[in-house]
Amino acid sequence: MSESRRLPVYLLLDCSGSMNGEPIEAVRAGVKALIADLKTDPQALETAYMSVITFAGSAQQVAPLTELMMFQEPHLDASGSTSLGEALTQLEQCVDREVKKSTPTQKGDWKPLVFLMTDGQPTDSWEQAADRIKQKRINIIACAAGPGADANLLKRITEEVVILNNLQPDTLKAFFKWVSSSIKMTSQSIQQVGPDTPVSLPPPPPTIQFVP
Amino acid sequence: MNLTAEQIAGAIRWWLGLEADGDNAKGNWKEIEDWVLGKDERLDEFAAHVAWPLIDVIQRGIVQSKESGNDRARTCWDELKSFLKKQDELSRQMVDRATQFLDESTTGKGYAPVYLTQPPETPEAGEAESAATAVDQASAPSTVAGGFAPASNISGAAVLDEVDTVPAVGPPQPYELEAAPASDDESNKASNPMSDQTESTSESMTPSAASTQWQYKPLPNEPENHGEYETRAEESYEKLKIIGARVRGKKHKHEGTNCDDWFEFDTSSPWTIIAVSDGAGSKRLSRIGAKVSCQRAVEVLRERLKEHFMGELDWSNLAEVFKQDREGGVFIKKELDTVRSALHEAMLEAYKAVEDKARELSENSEYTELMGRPVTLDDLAGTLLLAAHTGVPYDGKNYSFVMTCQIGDGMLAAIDQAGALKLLGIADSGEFAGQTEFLISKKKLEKNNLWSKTNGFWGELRALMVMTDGVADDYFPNAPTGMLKLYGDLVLNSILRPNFKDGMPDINASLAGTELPNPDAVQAAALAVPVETISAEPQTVYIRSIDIYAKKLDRTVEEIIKDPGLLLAGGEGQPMCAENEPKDRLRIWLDSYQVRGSFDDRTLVVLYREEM
Repeated sequence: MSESRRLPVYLLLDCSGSMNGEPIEAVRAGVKALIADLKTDPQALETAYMSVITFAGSAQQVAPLTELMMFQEPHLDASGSTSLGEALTQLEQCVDREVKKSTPTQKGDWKPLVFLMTDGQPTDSWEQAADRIKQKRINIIACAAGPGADANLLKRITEEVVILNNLQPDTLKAFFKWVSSSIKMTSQSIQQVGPDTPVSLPPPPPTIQFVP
Repeated sequence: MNLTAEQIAGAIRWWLGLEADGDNAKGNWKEIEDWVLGKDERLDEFAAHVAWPLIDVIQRGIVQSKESGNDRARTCWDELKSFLKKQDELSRQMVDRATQFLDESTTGKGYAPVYLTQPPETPEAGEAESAATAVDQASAPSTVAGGFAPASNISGAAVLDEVDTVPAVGPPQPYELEAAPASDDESNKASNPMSDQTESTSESMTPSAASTQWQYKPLPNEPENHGEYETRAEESYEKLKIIGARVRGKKHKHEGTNCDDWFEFDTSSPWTIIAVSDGAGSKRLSRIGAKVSCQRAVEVLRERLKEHFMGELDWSNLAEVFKQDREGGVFIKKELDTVRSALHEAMLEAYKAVEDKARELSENSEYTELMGRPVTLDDLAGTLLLAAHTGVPYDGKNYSFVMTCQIGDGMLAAIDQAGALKLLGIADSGEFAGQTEFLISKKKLEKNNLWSKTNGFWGELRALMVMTDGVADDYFPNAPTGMLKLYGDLVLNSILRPNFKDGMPDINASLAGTELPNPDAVQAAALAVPVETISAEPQTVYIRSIDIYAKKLDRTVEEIIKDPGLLLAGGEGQPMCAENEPKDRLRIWLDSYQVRGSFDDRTLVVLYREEM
């Protein structure tokens, strides 16, 4: 029997200094809850592979693309600036390296799903990386969290941008819960689609708004 | 809920897998389950109550002890249960707390909230955090999800209290090692997933873990449902056998949705016609398009070909016979071109039939209500694979001529008497997986596109296989060996008989010199692996895989396919299932073989020669 197709899921998490305290705690709990919840879903369990890329003073893939059963939550700490550009470059490299393309002899992975969360303005040069990643036509959902983030800026990366009004634990918790539902929905709808069919996401909770 | 505390306790005991007293524990549990799932926060509260004694134990590190094999995810829950059986006090506490909670809340006595640890300042968030931490401290993350479903439900539920899809509360499934078709060594790893981190992506592992979470839900109440499955068997004009089966995929069973596949065949003329379609999974009514297109295509091909004879072609010069006028998109020999044009016309007519059906449904208020808008052509999107076969006697032997055409994914493949494989389909390859074409765009029906997807075969046919992506993808890459493996699996599982063209093979002679040098050694190798089917009436099926057989024999798949003796030997012994008819066996096999990440509908039609 042949290898299975994977649904690669990347979490790009802003761990800059402004996330310190309650927000980063909520993110930790959110990631934990996300993994625990996905493990109860048989389709996600068979297909979803998770990776975490954090960015602050620099960007780093702190958890390589790993199947859910084997996924070890990375330790998340918040300090430093917001190297969004470096994070996007990391993402591009990870996708190139880890995601299998379809060829006549290689079973390709499903189109990757990326969740990017940031609470501030990028502190590095990010525009070129944003343009490159947008051209990859992977499914990216960007989240502008709290008053310091700029949703319009994220539009350069992806059409799918959501806003979190604040960084309260409950708001972040709701966000990760929505991410979980989105991954489940995607793992359930992976099947033949026409090229470039947009990813369908569950309706977000009231604390999350899509930017039109 | 109208249950006494005793009844509740009995039901909870049953749910926990403890010795259940009371005669209707299972039925009572259903009532409890409905009540618990009836309101969002109830599940969390309930889970927290049930979990409390357990979390306490876990926190004290009892599960972490070496004896309980903490890092063996799949066996953890089983061990915990046997542990609980010996812990009267603890299991009594669990039953009591759950009972107290349910009894008090349903009788309006009110209940005191429990916290998993000390009540934190912000109860909700703190509870979630400490629950997760508690579990984490005590056991590896994989333990939580793998063998320990209730715990993962608890942490999932307690933390993600607003998740739309509430984790199902059900009796814990037995965490026996479910056998994926995998070799012995892989099965061993499967029972101990943490034993070898570098092999963590072993194919056999997660299906076992996830298989305990796959559920069976019956067909929905929708118009024009496809049945749960379909099987059919006939004999062709040339006395070839043809069998076909379609089964609802795990995903559709889990969600309680329809099978989207369809197949048709016709043997009423010297031409055997086969049509297979896979309705687009993203479209709720695609099954209707799949059915309509298959039916219409078969009808057209039957009418167009029933009077058509291949005539006196000189098959010794195949290049000449198959000569094409590429620019015109035709075969030079009119005998072949008639078949080509019939196939292409069948595609066009199938498209028109789908279009007509879409128009008809768009004017049907029942469907408009179902969809919340009028039905469109897109809703009936599906693939279509067509094959036409006829016998062409040559050199005193039975030869076959086959022509095929295809829109979208799925595969058609022919295997000849010598065991050589010819793919008659084109594997889709988009940049990422799952990008295919459907029979809903006129563009796909342009002559050039159809021409590029038309294929022919001439030879002594052993088997012609036509399948949807649900099967083809499990045998990827389809060439050079994927489709041979499929054929081999069909023979090893006694769905097809090996072809004894040169008389009854000598099994002993074939096995001599292999790693399994005689029939006893083959039996001792225990090739049949038990698999539990996911259905309304689950049964255990014994599945063989040619991959494993080849490894144990130390022979290649190609060598086995070429040797009827080896094929025959591999299928001896424990039958796959009680059913004897090839079409039933095909259906049961399609319904039970396991491949990680494979949960699509599966459809396979096989035309084969069976002679002694």
